[in-house]
Amino acid sequence: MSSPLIFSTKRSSFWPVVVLCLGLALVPVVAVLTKQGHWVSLTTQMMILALAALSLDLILGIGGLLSFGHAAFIGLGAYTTGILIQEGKGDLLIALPMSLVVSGLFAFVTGIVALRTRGVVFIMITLAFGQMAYFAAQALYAYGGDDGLTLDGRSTVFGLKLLSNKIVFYYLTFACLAGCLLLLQRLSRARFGRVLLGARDNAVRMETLGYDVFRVRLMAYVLSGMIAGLAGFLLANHTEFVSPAYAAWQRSGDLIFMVIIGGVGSLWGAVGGALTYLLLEEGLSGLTEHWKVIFGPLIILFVLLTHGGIEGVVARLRDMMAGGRHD
Amino acid sequence: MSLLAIQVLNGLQLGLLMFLVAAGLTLVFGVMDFINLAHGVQYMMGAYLAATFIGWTGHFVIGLGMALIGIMIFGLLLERVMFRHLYARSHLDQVLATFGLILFLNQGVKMVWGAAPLGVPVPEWFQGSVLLGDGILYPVYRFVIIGSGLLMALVLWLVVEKTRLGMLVRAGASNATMLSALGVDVRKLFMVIFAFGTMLAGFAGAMAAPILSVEPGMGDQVLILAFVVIVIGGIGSIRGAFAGALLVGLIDTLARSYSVDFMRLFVGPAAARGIANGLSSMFIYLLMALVLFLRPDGLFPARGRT
Amino acid sequence: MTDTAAIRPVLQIEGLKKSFGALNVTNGVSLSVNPGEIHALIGPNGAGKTTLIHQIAGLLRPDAGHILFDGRDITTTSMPQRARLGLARTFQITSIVPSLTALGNVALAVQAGADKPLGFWTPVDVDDSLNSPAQALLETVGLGARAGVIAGQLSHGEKRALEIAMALALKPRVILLDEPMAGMGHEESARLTDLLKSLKGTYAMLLVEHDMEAVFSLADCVSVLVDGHVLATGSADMVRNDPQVRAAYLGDEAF
Repeated sequence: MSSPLIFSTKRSSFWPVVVLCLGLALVPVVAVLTKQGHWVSLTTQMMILALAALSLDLILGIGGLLSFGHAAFIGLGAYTTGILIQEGKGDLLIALPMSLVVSGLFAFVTGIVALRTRGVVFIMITLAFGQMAYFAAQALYAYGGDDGLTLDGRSTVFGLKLLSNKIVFYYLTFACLAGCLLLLQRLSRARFGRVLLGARDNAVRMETLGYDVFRVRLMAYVLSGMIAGLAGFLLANHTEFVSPAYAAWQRSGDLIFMVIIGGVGSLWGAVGGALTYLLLEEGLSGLTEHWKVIFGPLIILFVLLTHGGIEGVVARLRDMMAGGRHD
Repeated sequence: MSLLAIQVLNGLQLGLLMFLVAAGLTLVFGVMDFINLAHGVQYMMGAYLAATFIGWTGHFVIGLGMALIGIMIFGLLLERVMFRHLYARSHLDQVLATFGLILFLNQGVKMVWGAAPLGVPVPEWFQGSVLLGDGILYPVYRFVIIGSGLLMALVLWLVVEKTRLGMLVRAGASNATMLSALGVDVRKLFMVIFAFGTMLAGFAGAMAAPILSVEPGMGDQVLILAFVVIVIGGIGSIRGAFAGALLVGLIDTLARSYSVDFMRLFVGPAAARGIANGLSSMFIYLLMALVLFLRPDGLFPARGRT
Repeated sequence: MTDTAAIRPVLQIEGLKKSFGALNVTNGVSLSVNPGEIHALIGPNGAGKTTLIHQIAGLLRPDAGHILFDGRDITTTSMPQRARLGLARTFQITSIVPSLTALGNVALAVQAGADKPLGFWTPVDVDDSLNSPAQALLETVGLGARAGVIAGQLSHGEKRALEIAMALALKPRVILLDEPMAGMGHEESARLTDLLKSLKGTYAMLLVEHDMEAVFSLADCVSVLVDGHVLATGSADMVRNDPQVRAAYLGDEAF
């Protein structure tokens, strides 16, 4: 330990990320070899969820901003893509940047209002803005309204139907997830990330140091919204379907669950959280159609039984696994 | 003109129901700094219990009374088993745990009562309509809702402004740490506020049962609207919740009806209703954004912030 | 330091007023701080010292009056902007980033004044352009050996010293010190007094402090704030012997 430890909240998570990425890269190979084709689709879905959870973790874990409307950005990305596909302009080169722009713009505008508040009010406002997006999707009568819209197909790439191949689509999703993981990993350790973290702990202090906390948070919020929009782009293509339900507030709650179970502020934990969520959903819904009757109390128990807050427990567990002491 | 009168009455009625839900929520936030997402399912439970008890007894008032007692017991039980352990936790923990409770109750209700909406008959005494001139009829029961909502608001106002309990609540909303310094049994106070808030939400649900369909998830939308109401009104402020609720109720109702008319100019009736539904809901959130932009602490902030 | 007329004050406050409801917390305060000087602000609890500091730092907006920094009116300038101009502060209640190390806290302050305060890619913990100056500042305040400790786990006195290092990292013209010795033992206070004495001349400081021993050994100029207005301003000796001050504030206190 010659170089002083700057961040106390997390250890170097370089190797877990590498192992995780390698593992994910091999899934289609193994699936093809063992003729378990549905693994590819299921893992694709998991990675899309992970991407969305990752985007939330940027503002929640590092920024300390509990957004309860994060599904809105997914919905915006998905609808932008879906509408463009229906209008015959669904090429990746148009749909992808447009999804990012739309979700980023929404984050920018709503962020200007929401980031003026804090605490409970911030939670409620993001929830309300999320609902706004949800109702906007419902009002899109020409594109299915309440029922949602089944798409004609997936985005083309330079006019080629590359993404219809689920292996190709898998690797596109994988590349997006790996790219965003790398980006956020670097960002959280760079100057920007440290300012965001400082503002989480002590915003007034950051301002007296000369930082414009509002601006930094807004930047993080927009970036987070855009990554969630990217997840929306992928989701629309993956399911070939868009629905207001993508932007529903329960979705936002699910995302929070994923981030927390994976460990707040641990970026690769968002991937683990998404995986856990999907496994729980698959496993419990196999038991009963009323799986949420089990899932709900599981969440409650998880919160109640983890004394000193969930973050504390995750940190303790991680310390234990790393063989370090905890004080 | 008479259409406008009806819409205003409808808006008033929605606003008062919203107020009953928001009042409990804003006190729980203001005094306990506790974010309770499950407040909406308490509204739902009120409606379900009312539907059940009114069905059993065949009598509206007795059924309603039983429902109120039931929802209060339910609320106290939840407080003891779950919420009490969350007061000192972070907002993140509170949000997640109460989110879990919503999932459980929405699904649980579906298991017990089925997914299909339940209907509750309008009580016999209040059937029929009142003539509002110009041959426009307005249902008596809706007047009953407006009247009972106003009555509840009055009772609440008297309790908060004129009693010792109310003084503690107001003191707590502006400065919660002061309460324990004054030697108040905070735990007991929290329990009372919580039971009272639950009862109000349950009452709103029960009263709404005959005019709305009682179905799983019916509390979710109400919860989010109640959030908007208290954000507009200012957290912890009963006055703010009242003003915010009426504002939201009126704007939602009027925007809905006029945007249907407006959209009909362009598209067919079904489409118009679908689009207008979305648009008018968006109006409310735009209103909230505007208020927050101009006054980040809401219209009637309770906290003495500097 | 006798001929102050020739020196332009770096910080000047004119007729500052602030009230909360009917309570006039700041009631027409005027004072000035010259370059390199320590101007101490004393007064009984509730005299409005911290409220005054908050207004100078930009956390509160005054109702009336002006704040001039280096001749420039900063009354309505935002808090971050003031910090960037060279106005640093410490807080009465320790204000640091508890989850970062001591070094991380100071590096964060160094970063605020860096060319690119918001890099997205290069990790900070290996960034010598931040960490070397930060380490040097920690040495200055006597925390050199504690650089790697999580700031939240430092002792009270160490946190106060850390705050001063963070203020210094901004390369300020003026430092506002809000009761830096509060809650410190005698030995720690003495050490901090020595530190401030060594910084005197380089930085102008407005020092709010109850520790009279420290105030009288440090200050070039003392102002007494009572009920939101300045009762007297002058050298330590002048203020100490002012009958009005003795009556209003010092009372029977031993000195």
